[in-house]
Amino acid sequence: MYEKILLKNLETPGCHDIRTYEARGGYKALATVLNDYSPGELIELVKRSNLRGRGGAGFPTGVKWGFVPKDTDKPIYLCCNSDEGEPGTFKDRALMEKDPHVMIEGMLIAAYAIGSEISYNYIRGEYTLSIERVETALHQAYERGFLGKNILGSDFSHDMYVHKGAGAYICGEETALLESIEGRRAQPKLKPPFPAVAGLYECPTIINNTETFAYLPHIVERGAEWFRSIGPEGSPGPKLYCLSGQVKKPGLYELPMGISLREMVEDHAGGTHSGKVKAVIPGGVSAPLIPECDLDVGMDFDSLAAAGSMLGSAGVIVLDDTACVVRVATRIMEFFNLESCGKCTPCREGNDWAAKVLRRLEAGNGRREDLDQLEFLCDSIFGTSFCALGDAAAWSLGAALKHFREEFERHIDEGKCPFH
Amino acid sequence: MKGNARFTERETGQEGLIHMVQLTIDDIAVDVPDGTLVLEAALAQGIDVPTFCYQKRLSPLASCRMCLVAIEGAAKLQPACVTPVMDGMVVHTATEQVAKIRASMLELLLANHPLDCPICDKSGECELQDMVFEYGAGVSRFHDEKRVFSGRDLPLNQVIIFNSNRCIQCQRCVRICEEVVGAVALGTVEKGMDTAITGFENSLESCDHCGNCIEVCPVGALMSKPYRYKARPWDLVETDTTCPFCGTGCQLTVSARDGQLARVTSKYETGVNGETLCVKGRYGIDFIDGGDRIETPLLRRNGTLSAVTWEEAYAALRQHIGDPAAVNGSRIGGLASPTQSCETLYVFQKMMRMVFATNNIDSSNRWASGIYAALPGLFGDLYARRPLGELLEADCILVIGSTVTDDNPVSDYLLRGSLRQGGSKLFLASARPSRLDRDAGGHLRLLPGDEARLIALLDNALAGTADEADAPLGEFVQRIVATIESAATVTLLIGVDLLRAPRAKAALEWLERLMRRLQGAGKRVALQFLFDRCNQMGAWEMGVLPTRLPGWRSLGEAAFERAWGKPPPSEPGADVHTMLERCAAGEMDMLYLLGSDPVAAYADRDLVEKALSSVGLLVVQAAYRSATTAQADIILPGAAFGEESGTVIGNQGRVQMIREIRRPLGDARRNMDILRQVGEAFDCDLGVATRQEAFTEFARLVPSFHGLSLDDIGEAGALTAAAPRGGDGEPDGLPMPARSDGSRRDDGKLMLVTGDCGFHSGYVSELSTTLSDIVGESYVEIGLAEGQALGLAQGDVVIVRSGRGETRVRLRLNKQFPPGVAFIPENFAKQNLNRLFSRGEYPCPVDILPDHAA
Amino acid sequence: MDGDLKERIEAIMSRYPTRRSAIMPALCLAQESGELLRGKILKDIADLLEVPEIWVYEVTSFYSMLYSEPVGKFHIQLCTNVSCLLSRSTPLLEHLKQRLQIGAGETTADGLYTLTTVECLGSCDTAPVLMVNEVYHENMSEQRIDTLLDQLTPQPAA
Repeated sequence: MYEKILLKNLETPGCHDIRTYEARGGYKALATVLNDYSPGELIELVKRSNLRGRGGAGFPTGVKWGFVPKDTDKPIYLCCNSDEGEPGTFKDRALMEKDPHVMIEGMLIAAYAIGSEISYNYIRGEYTLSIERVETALHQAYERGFLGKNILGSDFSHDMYVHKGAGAYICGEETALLESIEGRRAQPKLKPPFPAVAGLYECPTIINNTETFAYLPHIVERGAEWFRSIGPEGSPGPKLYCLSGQVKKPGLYELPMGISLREMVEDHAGGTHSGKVKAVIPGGVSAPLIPECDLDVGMDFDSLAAAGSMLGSAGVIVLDDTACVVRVATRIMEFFNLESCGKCTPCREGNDWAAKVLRRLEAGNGRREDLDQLEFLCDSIFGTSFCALGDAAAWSLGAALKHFREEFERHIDEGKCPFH
Repeated sequence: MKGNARFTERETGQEGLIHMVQLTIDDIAVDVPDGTLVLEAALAQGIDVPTFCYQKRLSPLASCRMCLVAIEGAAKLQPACVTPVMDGMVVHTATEQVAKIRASMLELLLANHPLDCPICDKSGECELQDMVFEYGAGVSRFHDEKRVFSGRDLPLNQVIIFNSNRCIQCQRCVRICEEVVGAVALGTVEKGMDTAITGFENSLESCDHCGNCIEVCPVGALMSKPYRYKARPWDLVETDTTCPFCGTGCQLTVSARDGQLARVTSKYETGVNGETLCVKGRYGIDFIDGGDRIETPLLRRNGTLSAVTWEEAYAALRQHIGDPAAVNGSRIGGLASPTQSCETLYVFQKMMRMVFATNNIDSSNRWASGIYAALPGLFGDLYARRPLGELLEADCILVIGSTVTDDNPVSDYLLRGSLRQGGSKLFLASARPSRLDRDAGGHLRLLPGDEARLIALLDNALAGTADEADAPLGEFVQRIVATIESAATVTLLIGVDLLRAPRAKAALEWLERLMRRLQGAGKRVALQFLFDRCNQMGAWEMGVLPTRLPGWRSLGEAAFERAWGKPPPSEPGADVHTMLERCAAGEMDMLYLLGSDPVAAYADRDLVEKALSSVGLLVVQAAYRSATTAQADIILPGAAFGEESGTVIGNQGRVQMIREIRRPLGDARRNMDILRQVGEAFDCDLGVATRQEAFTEFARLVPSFHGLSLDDIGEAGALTAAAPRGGDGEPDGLPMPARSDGSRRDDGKLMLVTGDCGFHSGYVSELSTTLSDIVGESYVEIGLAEGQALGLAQGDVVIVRSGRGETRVRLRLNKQFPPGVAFIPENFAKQNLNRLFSRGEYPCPVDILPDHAA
Repeated sequence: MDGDLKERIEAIMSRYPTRRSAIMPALCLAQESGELLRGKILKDIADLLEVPEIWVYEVTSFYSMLYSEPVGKFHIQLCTNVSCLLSRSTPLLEHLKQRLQIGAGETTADGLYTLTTVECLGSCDTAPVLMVNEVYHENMSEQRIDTLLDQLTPQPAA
């Protein structure tokens, strides 16, 4: 059995209340940091832990913090990306509803490391309970002196606010998130300059994912070496996986990285309803699906990248052999079409074209040329779009076409969906 | 330091170390300054890289993806429009992959773009058409349903109509409206495939109507309503000319189809304006088809005007004045409009001096008396005859006495551009709010007349002379001082409000003093006026002044005797104020008006009417009937704008061409010809038979024109040369100007100011159907709180009453307006605004009362 | 603008260094206080925040949870993304359409129900999921939908 780290609090009722959280050892890491670490030392600690961001990109957290200029007189901002819109993902919601303080404490640790006095937690608007729980938790933290001026008697002061989203998946993209906070349309910004140098209000800004912050108190308490001892070297630390789709035991799982996808689905999640896996989407719908034959791939950043997919948000969606890949691929493309911000030509126009063709094809009115069109669209959108949303749309469709072309062909030739 | 470093002398004369970067583009070795974009470097080599969303003046977007190029070492194609060059970079713009992607982007755009070419205005000059022709595949594979926003074009206001289906989301319109014009009226709504640009709740009712959004739209999405369906671009005959409205001097391209005015646009790389125009220049030129034109000479006999031949008209003039040798010049005066060309104005003042032996000439109805003594000092070396853009690179910019946003909109655009380098260096002082106030380093509301005191306090502060605390002027001065003291370069831009007010002379004298002090402190100073007429500077340079000859030269300078054959009169003449007073006192035999309309424009209606009814002979040479022509004894029909060519000098001291687009209407003649013919009627050969000869002659006499020939006036015009230090030497012992009489406020009156509104210029723009459609009648504007305190609401009909007269208008309430100030535009002749004013009093105190009769 | 709403907006403005940042929170507060986000309220917000009206209009239209058209008393938002799709959201959508007698994107004539399909709500392990206004309803089925609708608008006793 694997040691439960984040799940320990998540499975204990009442941890969203600061009294329970503190009784279980919460906010001790913050005290340790304020007493024993300089910001520079703290950054080194996180770098040594090799913690990689849990939002989807997997960038080393400590390295990102190091990009903040040391000699700036601009305010430094911290943001928590709790926009969790990637289909198949619900880990951040669990953390916010059941253990918001670990995220807050993690954010305070990060803020201290980079010299930030103000942070915004961008929570998607649909997460009503999360917002309520986090607002209450912030209130409690202020009362206990963990937020505000001179925290725990130190020179470190910090204010933390919730910024509510209002229904736009693209706000999960870090620069679009910043634009949204600034009151603009949430469209991704040009990089460079990178947010660490010029982000929110053109000031140095660090954005990390909810789950990423949640590990920081543990790293402080138990050390970088402990963290690195869990899972493979390139992807250390425990990980929350969201299992859903046609599995018998959907839910949140905490497992070290590197475990095979097959083991995760068959052993931990109880296998599929029909008994046979057709394919699994490993990291939210932006991640290309893995067909059954490749299911032994390790669930970590590097192995999945080598397999032509990605760990992403660790939203693991399972398709059994009764599922229609064409229907799933169509729905995914519709999703990207609806959520496209509309800024760049390939994503705005290309996703729409692809969605129209796929809908028609899925309904049984496709032609063989449509497959050429879809391939043309994948080629035109991937690598040309302004941000990763376009890439994701093209990448996910491309994988479906590559691994399940005969399902598309059957829809065309049979004039209907063979599965329904 | 990597790369080559080179010392380069820039246009401003500053030497600097510029780091050069070496890279390769399509196997060509390229050497460009650090910071250059790959796109710019490629274009400079003549390599065509397609773009939609890129526009030099606008913030980078990189959203259209047309400019993607291959850069060795980069995994993905990179957008050239936002990638800066780097040493050793190897760029390929013509690979198969790049070609494929360009074709793909175009095919994607064409999937939903309606193939409206046969009915679309833009066809023939459409960037999408051009790009598809150059880079696109010949066939589109898309067979599904196109996305349709609307089956009908949507009018957004009187001049802008929008077809959303055609929009390719380049965002040029939104960016130009926000970043250049500053109106922020356009935005983008929805997302994904529903993304559409529009105004607030689909209306642009309250925008500037400048049409710059239409100009930069690469396709036929945004269209000009007055031009829609009128012509194909290849049908149009284009004439490049200069705008006849304000002194910014924008370059216009006037297009006509079958002799009918079709539209006005601008060339992107030409002029101070580049791709922009304001609503007046873009939509007001149709004034040439409006108004009541005078088509034949007219003579008043027994009280009524009747048509006569030119010979009869000249004969009548000769008969009235009598023997040319016996002319008493002191009883004759002339007034010319500063919208006439340099050639015409030069011949005008030559005619007045040589034929009528008088220096009683003036070129404006509106300026305060006494300013002519102070002007020469400012038009010598202190006047910067350089591009405005350069002046705006200064470390400190002061704009005094101008509502730039309304008076000189395109100059406002350039000022806004300069703010991007740091707003803290810009300071504005004016009676009315301007759009630049918000982002400037400081702004001050001050009544016309207080400019003199402001400049004097600033001069004293720099001299270290302690002054009594004088809020708010004093506070504002302190803020300027903080910036100006550390500035190496200082630019002063002076508006016409300063020239109108009674203390204008003092303001100009203090201005000269301030500039000399800054020079003495080692700073490079530059002055330009922000005139609201296209050739005010030309009128002065051409010597339409009672106390100076052409080139600001003193009366009695020998060169003129040599040039003109006999010496011009040496007795200083009267300005417009004195002329009118003398007319009213029965002391004037003739007043010769060239394009001028003092009945409407002179700020004292009573005096004007008395003067014109008392003068012996009123001769009016003009294109349009007006309240003044109604009083005339002899009317000589002159060519209107667009019916003759000539040069004008704009605010930058740049000489530009106004070119004719049609022949004079009816029996009207070119203005210069009429003046020569008047000379002939008085047995005087004025010598200059053509406008070219006129130019050659005055180019020899006006120092700033030395070395310039008409051939030099190409597309970009030509800058006149910096003149030598002018003036009569620094006036010493300048008294501190008094504070304006704000005490009027205690009796509840407001101070009435006037000027151009944002949609009109002078008195001809109201002849434009398009502009009148947008703002067709006058109004009075006051502060929102003020209106509420008076119990009045937006749109109420009110009476504005001064001690002299009253007028009835609709009320406008403006949150940004300062308390105690009221504004009525001077662009609507029928409003008879000058009935309220009296000579020497500006602004004038008024009451605003509800009109119960309404 | 209602005085209470104005105060709450001003309080939230203090969290941000620019007034523009308060546009989104101001719109959410206005909507929560019962305003439909169009016309005067948008101008009032622009006025209070001293920003161009178009910026407020842009933000309102960009986000799916900001409404400028009327929404029924009960806004039923059914997730149709992949996990819910694989867990039978399609038949559930049909069931809702049939029960309410409206299509997706429509509102019942009595103004009680609006039915829309939405994207992933982040509750994939309890699919199929729907929201009624702000509340999540998980592990849905045709029967649970019937129970839910009966609770929202109890049928009169037979």
